[in-house]
Amino acid sequence: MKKLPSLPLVLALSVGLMLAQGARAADMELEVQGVSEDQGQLLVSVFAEAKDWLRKPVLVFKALAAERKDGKVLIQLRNLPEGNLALNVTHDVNGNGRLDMNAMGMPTEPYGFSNNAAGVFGPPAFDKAQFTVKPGTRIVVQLN
Amino acid sequence: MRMQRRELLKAGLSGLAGAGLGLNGLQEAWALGAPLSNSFSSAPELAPFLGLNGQDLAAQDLPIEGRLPAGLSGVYYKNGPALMARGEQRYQHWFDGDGLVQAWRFDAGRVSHQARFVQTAKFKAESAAGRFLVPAFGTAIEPRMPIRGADSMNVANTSVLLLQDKLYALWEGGSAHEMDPRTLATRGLKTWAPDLLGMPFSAHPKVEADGTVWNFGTMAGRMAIYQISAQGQVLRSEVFDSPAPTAFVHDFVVSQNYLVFLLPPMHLDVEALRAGASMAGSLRWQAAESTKVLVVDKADFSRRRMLEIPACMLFHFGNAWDDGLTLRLDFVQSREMPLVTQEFAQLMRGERPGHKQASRPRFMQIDLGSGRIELQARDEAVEFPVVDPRVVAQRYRHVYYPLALDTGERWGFNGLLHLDLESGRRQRFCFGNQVVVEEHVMVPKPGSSREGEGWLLGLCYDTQRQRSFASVFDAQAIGDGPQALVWLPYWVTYGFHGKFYAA
Repeated sequence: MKKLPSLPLVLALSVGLMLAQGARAADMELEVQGVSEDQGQLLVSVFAEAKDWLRKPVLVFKALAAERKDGKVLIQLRNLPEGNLALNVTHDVNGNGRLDMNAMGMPTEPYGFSNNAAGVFGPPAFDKAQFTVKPGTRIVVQLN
Repeated sequence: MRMQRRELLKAGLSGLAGAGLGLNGLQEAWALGAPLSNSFSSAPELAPFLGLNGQDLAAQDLPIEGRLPAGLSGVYYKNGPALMARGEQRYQHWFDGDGLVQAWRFDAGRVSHQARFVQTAKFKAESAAGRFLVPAFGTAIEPRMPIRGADSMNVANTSVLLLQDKLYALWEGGSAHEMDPRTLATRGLKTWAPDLLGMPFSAHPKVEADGTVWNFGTMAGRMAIYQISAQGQVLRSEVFDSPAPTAFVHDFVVSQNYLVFLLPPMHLDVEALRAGASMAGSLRWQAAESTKVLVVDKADFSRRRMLEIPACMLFHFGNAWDDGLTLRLDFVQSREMPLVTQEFAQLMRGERPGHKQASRPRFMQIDLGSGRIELQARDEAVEFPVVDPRVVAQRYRHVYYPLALDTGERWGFNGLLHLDLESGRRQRFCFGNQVVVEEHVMVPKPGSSREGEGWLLGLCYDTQRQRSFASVFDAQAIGDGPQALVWLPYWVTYGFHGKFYAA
């Protein structure tokens, strides 16, 4: 059986993360559109700075693709640090925990970015995907 | 009966009455909102670059001039870019248009035509939106829908391949699209094996006489090679870092023992691309560098050797053969890519390129021991070389090309050239400047076994009648003129490559 981290440890880590980002935090809702199959999970990575973009997320969220209704899955983004953030969503269809690529380095699973930012021959820049945290609001990401 | 040039001209003139149909095509272009410059009317051979509006075409019992050879039975599939504009926007490069696959069906002396747009994800989304949504190879378009990879921009517009009962519409940047060979209905993207999902599959696979298919793909400095059985199973594939730039590798060639690639010295300016230029507009020709000759051992893809020749640009090869000591191949050298791109931009605006197209036959001999390369040149203006499909990757002596002969100011080819590499003899035929000639494939005569016994079959456009037609020549006597012309009641856009599959 897989060993899960203890609840106190998770709490301690979360609190530590929140402290590191300052005491104020907000909740938002993410609507992922274009979820085309039940298999696998949706992975959401949230980034706070351009230098960490697509490398070091400040928060991650997960949801099961099977939760989709009309191709949409709602994910609660809790405890977002205030300010400007950018996120990416991957539909990890085979559940291996990452966005799969073929031998040419071309993604082979669906993904998307906040603002529906699209890159040209590569991922979009952080600032194109940047959004301002507004508590209680919803953002929408369309998967490709 | 063979038709002589005078009769052809007569046929063309009598067809002026049918010009109304061509005008409909122009009106259609207006209705699309495409800016129609005056130049299209002063360069009538460029009218097909206006493009079609996305509707499929079909016509039965096509009128035949002359006499079709009795043994010519089967389907001639041809692919090419056909939708060139949506809304206010017009593509700036010939390679950008959405693929239209034509099926010319030859059956007991009767011929029918069908043409259907490949229903790519891109085509479907853009048809629904009424505008272009994704970047094209030669036209910078800000993405207006999410892009996963190259297949999000796949236009499936370059060539075709029939394997078993599956027809594939090919494009070089991404996956092949599978189609129903009988209805031309699109079935979807083809994945040859699970680990080849979304991999580039070039539009120039080589099919040997035993049915073995060789193909390749390139992307961002990496190359893939595929060997596929006649049944469509991947026998081997290998992906490796290319030893030289692969910004534009369109074709390759296969001999008994080797796969040969010519890698022109072209770099992709990634900064320009990120700043909003198109892919074609970001290619940089490096005149001081050499064109690399990559020779890969068919038996062991990891055995690769690199040679070089002076910088030279090319699109297409004819064929290759080797005897273990010497490898011989032929190709067509073209003008370097940035100039070609400018010419295509002019064509798409309906303007005749200022510089005349100057692509020429080239012959290469590689001493496999020393690596020494000899190059020979001819000066006919040609492109789209083809050989008898029975001699692919074997010793061969005949190559066939569309030919430009005294075309003056006019764009495009107006004739055909047959080169006999052993005797050095050539045969030519010229339709005159009223006709634009496209690639002609070599169709072996049923029951024959000798290379060259067969017909040349390809498409042409009559600029006065404003209609497209297929022409059929005896491949051993092209100088005698076509044996038959098969007329469409409409015109179609110029295609790139086709293949004939006997019934």
